[in-house]
Amino acid sequence: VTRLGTLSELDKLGATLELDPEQLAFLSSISPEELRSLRVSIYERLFALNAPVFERLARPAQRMPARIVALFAERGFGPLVAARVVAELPAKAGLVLARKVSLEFFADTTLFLDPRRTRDMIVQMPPQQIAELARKLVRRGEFMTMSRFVDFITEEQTQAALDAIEDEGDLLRVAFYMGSKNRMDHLFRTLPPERVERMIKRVEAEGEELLPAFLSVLIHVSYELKRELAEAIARQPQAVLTGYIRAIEDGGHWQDVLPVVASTSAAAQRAVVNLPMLAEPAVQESIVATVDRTANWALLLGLLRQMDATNREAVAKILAAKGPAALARAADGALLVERWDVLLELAARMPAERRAELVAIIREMIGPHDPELLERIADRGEQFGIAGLGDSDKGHLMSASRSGPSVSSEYS
Amino acid sequence: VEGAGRDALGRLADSVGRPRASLAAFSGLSPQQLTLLADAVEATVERRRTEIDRALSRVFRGPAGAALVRTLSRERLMPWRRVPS
Repeated sequence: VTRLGTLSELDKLGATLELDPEQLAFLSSISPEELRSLRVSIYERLFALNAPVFERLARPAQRMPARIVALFAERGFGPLVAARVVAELPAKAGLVLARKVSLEFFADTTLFLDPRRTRDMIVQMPPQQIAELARKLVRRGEFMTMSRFVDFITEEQTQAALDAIEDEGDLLRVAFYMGSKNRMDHLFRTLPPERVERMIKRVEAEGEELLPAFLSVLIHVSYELKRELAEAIARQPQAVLTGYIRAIEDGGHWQDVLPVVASTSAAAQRAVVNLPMLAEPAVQESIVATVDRTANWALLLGLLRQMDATNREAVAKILAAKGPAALARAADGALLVERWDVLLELAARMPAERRAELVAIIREMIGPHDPELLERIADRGEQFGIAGLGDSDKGHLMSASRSGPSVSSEYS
Repeated sequence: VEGAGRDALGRLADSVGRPRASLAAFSGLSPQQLTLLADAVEATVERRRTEIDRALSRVFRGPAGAALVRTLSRERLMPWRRVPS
């Protein structure tokens, strides 16, 4: 469950129900998919209202000249009824009507138009008309409305809309509400590099508003694009990177961001995880708490490899303070990604009592099932001065003491 | 879900036109939260119903409305009753 996905869905549900998203905060624990499903059910109910009336209105509309119907629509029906009638028209008739009404009225109508019911009409609209509509909706700040249509337009129409949305911030605002994540990937892949660079700088400048949208894109695009975008961020000056980290910390987005950082190259990871801001105890505490709560130790153990010794020391202290349950979750993570060296180095930095607890956890977790692995772990443990892991160390289990000053700053 | 919670979940299911079982993900909410959600859905549906009624009433007022009524009558396509004549 991504926190950003839930935020996006709560915004959309709030708009549908005309409630402030904060009034729906009690739904934060529900998955974005379930929230979306509920919202679609509400749409279905709204679109079913007075359905026979709209079907009947659509029949003469097909026989009358489009110019007259457009006149009725703008001066009589209004956008709500017009949207419902268009949904009952054959695509061709709807298309003619869409050309006859003013752009202003068409934009009003899109607020009530169901893209699923008018898909055939939408895909036949000229890209130029889509571009004009996109410009109009952007000026009105109708990003949520725009997002409903992105899944249903053609490649050519998408390109026209992308060109029409000149502000990368607006593009992100639309993307935040998009339902199809595949489409999001495609949309951002077609952006020229200079627009991606501009977008990254805009996000840093307006982090509070744009960061959730940008992170939402980062999370949902394919692994390859995720990595490209994250690498582009990591190349930014330290001040820009720090701005990102500050916004991520303030917004509580670590759960969504850590996998993105983990997807980047070792060099990019080093640039991020060794930022001075990440040495702040509150930030470190926040990251470790997120990792522990979401059982994502495997991911953090990977990132720890790129952290300097001071930061690793701090993580070791925080983990030690969390107690045996957290130690067990960290051991699970190490088992998952074979990162025993990182965990053992953390253990070496812990107080003796915690180190002994971790040794006991590892022995119990691995020993009965894979004695050979336990021996290998014991060998690595010895390099960090940790005794009590191997069978020959049973007698020393409770002491699990460090036998030498071998807390290295690099992993072999 | 027990007692009042079960009833509130049923209300939410009714308000969105879905079987109660399909809303299992919402069963952890309190009866008050489920009721708030169901009430919000009902209020939204009522608002939209009123908007549609008003819009349809506007359609049949004035010269444009008269012309439409003539067209619909000619086409024998005006059998509904919600719309004021």
